[in-house]
Amino acid sequence: MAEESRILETVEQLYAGAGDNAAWAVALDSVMDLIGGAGSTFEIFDKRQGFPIVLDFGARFAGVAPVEYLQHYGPKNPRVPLHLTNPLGTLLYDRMYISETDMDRDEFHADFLAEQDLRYFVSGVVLDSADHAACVSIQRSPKQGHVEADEIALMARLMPHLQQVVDIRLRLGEALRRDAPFVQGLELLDDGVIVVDGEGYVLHTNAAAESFLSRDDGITAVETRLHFRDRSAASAFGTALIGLVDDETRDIDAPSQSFPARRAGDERAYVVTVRAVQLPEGIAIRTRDAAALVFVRDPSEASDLDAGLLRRSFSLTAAETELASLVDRGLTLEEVADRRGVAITTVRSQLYSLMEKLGINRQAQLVRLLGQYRRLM
Amino acid sequence: MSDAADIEATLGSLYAGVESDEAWSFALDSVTELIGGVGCTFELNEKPTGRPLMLDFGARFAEVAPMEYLQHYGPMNPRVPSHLTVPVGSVLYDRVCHSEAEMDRDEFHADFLAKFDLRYFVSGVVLESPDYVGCIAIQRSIKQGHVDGDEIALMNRLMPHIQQVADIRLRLADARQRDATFVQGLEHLDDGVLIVDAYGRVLHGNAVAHEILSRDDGVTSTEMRLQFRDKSASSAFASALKGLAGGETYDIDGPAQSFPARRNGDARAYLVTVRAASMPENLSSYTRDAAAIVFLRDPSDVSDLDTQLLRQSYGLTGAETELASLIDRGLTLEEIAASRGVSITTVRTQLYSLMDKLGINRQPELTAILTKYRRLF
Repeated sequence: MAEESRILETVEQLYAGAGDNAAWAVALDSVMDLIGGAGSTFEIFDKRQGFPIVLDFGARFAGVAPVEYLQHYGPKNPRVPLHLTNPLGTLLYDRMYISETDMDRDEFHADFLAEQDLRYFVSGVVLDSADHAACVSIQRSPKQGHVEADEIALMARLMPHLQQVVDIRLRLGEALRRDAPFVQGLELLDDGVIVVDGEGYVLHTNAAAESFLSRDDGITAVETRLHFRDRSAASAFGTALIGLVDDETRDIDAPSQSFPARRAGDERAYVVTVRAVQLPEGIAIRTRDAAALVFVRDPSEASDLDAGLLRRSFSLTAAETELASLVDRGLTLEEVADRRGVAITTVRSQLYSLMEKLGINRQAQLVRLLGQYRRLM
Repeated sequence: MSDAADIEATLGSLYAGVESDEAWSFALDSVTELIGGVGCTFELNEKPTGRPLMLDFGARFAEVAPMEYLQHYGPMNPRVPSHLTVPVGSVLYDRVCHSEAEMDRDEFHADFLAKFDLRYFVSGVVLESPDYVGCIAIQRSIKQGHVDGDEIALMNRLMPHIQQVADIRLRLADARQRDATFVQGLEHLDDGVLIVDAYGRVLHGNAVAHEILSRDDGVTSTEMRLQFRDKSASSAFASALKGLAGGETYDIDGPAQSFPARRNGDARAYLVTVRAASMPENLSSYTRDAAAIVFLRDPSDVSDLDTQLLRQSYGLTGAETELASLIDRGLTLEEIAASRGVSITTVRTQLYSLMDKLGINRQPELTAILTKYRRLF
């Protein structure tokens, strides 16, 4: 049956759009071709605000004006309320809610649709959640006219597939978007962060960790497995992993385990902290699960004092700010005085003023407090 | 050849398989039903050994013995090597791998498959990574016999869809794993981390951030929106967000913006750093996108020195470790001598020995280096 195989082709095109944006635009085209129309659109509506927030459209929908629609005409679109109040799976079309005379009078029809030679539609509600609704619509020209029973029946036939494809796209879109800021947050840290599986294989490294590993001076990844040159660090790491992976002893809330990892030459040992990762129950199609987060710090690496931030926090003068920065770098008051060509008493009185503004009364507290004013990222 | 409606139904079940592991086993059943077989399996095999890493199977495949297969028979399965050498998307079946006589002689066929009344198969290579290959296989009984042209054609028709479903499942599983891992990574930081949308609404906060917000002494979230009591902080935050959202000026790699946020009373101002969040341009999504990552630090909250770690790193004695910890808390050498009831020279000797072990020769450097040995989380 020719009709059946055309429907199947459309269904196949639709599903091909589940995981990819370009294929999704082609999928929308294929629905338009099957039903008959001038263009096809996918919209997500914000229920509380009552207007569209996302517009996808078929690759061959030439007349579409997405920015104009979302920014200006979307909130005036009289079709929107229908899609917010009807349940998932509902089919909607022009005649259900608006007469030809009302269309002529309506601003959205007269100003926006008419300009693109559009007037009629058939659509289906493909998402209905507490905050959002979504629909796939076929847009038709005045010449193509109203949809008739045949076209409505075809659209009804596609609805379960449309709903399923949209569900998959949103699932994937949410999952990929949700984790992005977290990955980036760790990427920005000065400390190295390495994600390993239960056997110590490296699944992810942030930029700082990447740079530590590339130095090859104490911690390396040998065939993607984390390796410590320092034997006692290697055994501390092994013990930590066994403790984390073994279900009997595994304790997610257990405090992390820390140990030094000695390096080649005289460099200060890396500071390593291992903590268990808890994974959600879910899809089990993977070969390696994250078991632990490994934080690595190089104690010799001090990030710069954020002098501007310090100054604004305590309304310091320029001289006080500079003094703080020199003390932070380990200069004595005598050295500061020499460097500036001023008397030690001048420096000392600036120091007292600095300490007073910082709310401390011991010089030893100063360096410690300044440690908090290093750049956060 | 099955008619279009059967294929359409199979596609529906197949794509529903992205939702859960249970739905996936029903998806495998639906493929079995369409092609004809006793059951359907999906396995991942390690490259280049072919060792099976994972086995999924249809819900109605009663006779399967997964542990026996994974641990004993999988590694001798003579079908596996052919699957490792052909490109992804290929369809394979018994006759291309071995003859009837070879099947009779082969241990895997004679001991394992025969036990379940299985002998023939048609399969497809669905996934390929540098580490493994994923295959789907319809298992057929002696009575069902070889697959013929029709069944092979059907399998070929389904392959792009099976590949896509497996790919989406993998992407979802990876995203969930990253999400869980990185959320936990940020959770344990000493600094507060907030993820906000373009309107300053809090999408996520770690434990430290929530603790700071709950103090209600300078930074709060009012109706989910991040608020600063300090007017200049409030306007700095607004202009940082505006800069991030302002299209043209949006710059992921741009410098972070830092400012102090004054608090009630005498407490030191919080330190705030705002940085643009980068979002992947994948699929449509209706949730509010993260626009920025906000780091919050209370400069007065200094976490404890990890004395054990410091001691291990430099081979310190008990007295040296205690001295480091007292200096870190801001005590002078005189105070330390008095509290221990020893002479200042004794303390000074210990200090020199401590500094020697730490590889430094100035006392201000000591306080700075100690800040590196606070707990990482």
